Amino acid sequence: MDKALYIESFVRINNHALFYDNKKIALNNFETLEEKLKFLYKNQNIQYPKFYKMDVLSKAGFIAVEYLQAKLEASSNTSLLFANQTASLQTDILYQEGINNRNNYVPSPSLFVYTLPNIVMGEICIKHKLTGENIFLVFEDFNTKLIIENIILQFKLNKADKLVFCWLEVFDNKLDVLNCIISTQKTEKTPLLNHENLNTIYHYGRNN
Amino acid sequence: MNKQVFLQTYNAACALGLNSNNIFAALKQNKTGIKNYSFQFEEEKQIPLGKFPTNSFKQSNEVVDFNALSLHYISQICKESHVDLKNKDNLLILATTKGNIHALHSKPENAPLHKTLQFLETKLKLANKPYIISNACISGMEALIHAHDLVKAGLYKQVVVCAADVLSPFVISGFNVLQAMDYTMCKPYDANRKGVNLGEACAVAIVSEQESEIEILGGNTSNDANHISGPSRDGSGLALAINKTLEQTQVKSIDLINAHGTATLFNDEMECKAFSSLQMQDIPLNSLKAYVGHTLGAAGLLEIILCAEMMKNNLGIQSLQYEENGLSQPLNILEKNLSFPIKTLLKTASGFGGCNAALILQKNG
Repeated sequence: MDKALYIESFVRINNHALFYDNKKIALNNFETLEEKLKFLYKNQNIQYPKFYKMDVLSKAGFIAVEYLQAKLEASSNTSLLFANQTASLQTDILYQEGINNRNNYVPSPSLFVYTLPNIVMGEICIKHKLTGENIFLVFEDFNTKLIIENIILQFKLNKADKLVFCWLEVFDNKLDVLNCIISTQKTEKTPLLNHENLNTIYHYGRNN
Repeated sequence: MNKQVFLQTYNAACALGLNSNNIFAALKQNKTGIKNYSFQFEEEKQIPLGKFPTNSFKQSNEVVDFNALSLHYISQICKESHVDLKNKDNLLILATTKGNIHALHSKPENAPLHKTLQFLETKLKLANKPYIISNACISGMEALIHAHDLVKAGLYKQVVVCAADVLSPFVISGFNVLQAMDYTMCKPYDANRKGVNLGEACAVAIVSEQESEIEILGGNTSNDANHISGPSRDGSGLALAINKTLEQTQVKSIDLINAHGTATLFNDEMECKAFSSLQMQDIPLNSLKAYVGHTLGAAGLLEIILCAEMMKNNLGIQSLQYEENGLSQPLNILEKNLSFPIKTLLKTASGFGGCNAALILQKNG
């Protein structure tokens, strides 16, 4: 028997703005991803110095979760399902630059750790004490069929009572982030998780 | 949901051979596939690596072509088992940490993981979009667990899983700079262990409801929520994954544990804490890393396949390179091959990002 699933809360970030709970934070004044993310960090008064050590993928995912209005409680039954197109490519390229030249051979241990896309989930799990299921998927593009199928799977097999989904595409100065909390709890504000609603929030803010 | 899910068929390639029969034959003889190779860091050094035994897949002199390797083994297993990926009830999923990353060096447009997906779609006819699980060193296990879950939930009838990683300067230099490598043979659980030996592998499996000798009862992942590149000190994350799997599968006893056993100081110690906390310290246990190296994204699935072989043969393989206990809470590590009935097996893995995976296999009937 399939439980109905709801989008309890979401955050959408693109190069122009961060959208959450009917609010919009403009990012147009900043040029680079690092500048945008640093601004968002300070704007929310987060107080988590480890943020500054993270690579750009982890910073983006971390920030998205911090702006969620439905707060995450410590749990072993909250699953994380993160996905994107380029995995950790942004940081992979930076790391590769350090080993290309034998005469200037400077592989960076701190960069190398972030050449795995699932590290962002690790960072979020540490901050919010989430010890449940976690999986990082690479798709060809934002695909609502694959996303919904994979989210449903976690609930169908009772592996979670709540799920943090994040489409986290961060590459080549492009920010394309959609972060949702999915749960079985319905309130008057929470839309059903389906293709139409997921597409609507993904395209949210396109014309704003 | 009372569906039973089975490991219908499988194959693998690694330092010990290009098919799983040859690999297991070498395991029975306790032969290692790890050898010293010259590697260029800032200066040249000899390091132990688990490289493929032939040049079958190599393009450049150094690095195996990841896309060609995956395509070969996926095509072969589908052909031999008559599994048609054009059928909408069938799905292909991959598992890897770095895929074709070596292409960054010369042809960067081919490096991204989604390009591998595009490559496979042009070469194979697929009814469903394939995707990749990239979750550090648990990727291979996670993919098999995921395939089990997809079939159990009735979403697909047959899932083809391909887990692979190839040795490259990118990966070798990285483990070196983290000081996680042993420059001699790795020694899982041993008092003198110093780190990993890296390896490469490609493992393929087909998961379905079709009855076969090895049933996949189920698996779970967890997160330590402690540190991004070191495991938790108390093993509670791994213990949680194991406990969830025991609860889910209702298994009462385990005959053999094949653990992650990478031979780093921290990983192996974390495992002994996890297993001891669950009163599993007396169950026969081994690590396969000293035979084939740490094959990263492929490791979980390659080792599951070798576990299936151990079960079919009722033969627990010696945990190679273990001589003197190096754990604060000793485990029952196999110091030589042991013939005994293996009906139920627990497989575990852990990885960067604080992730852990546990899976239980059982002989059918």
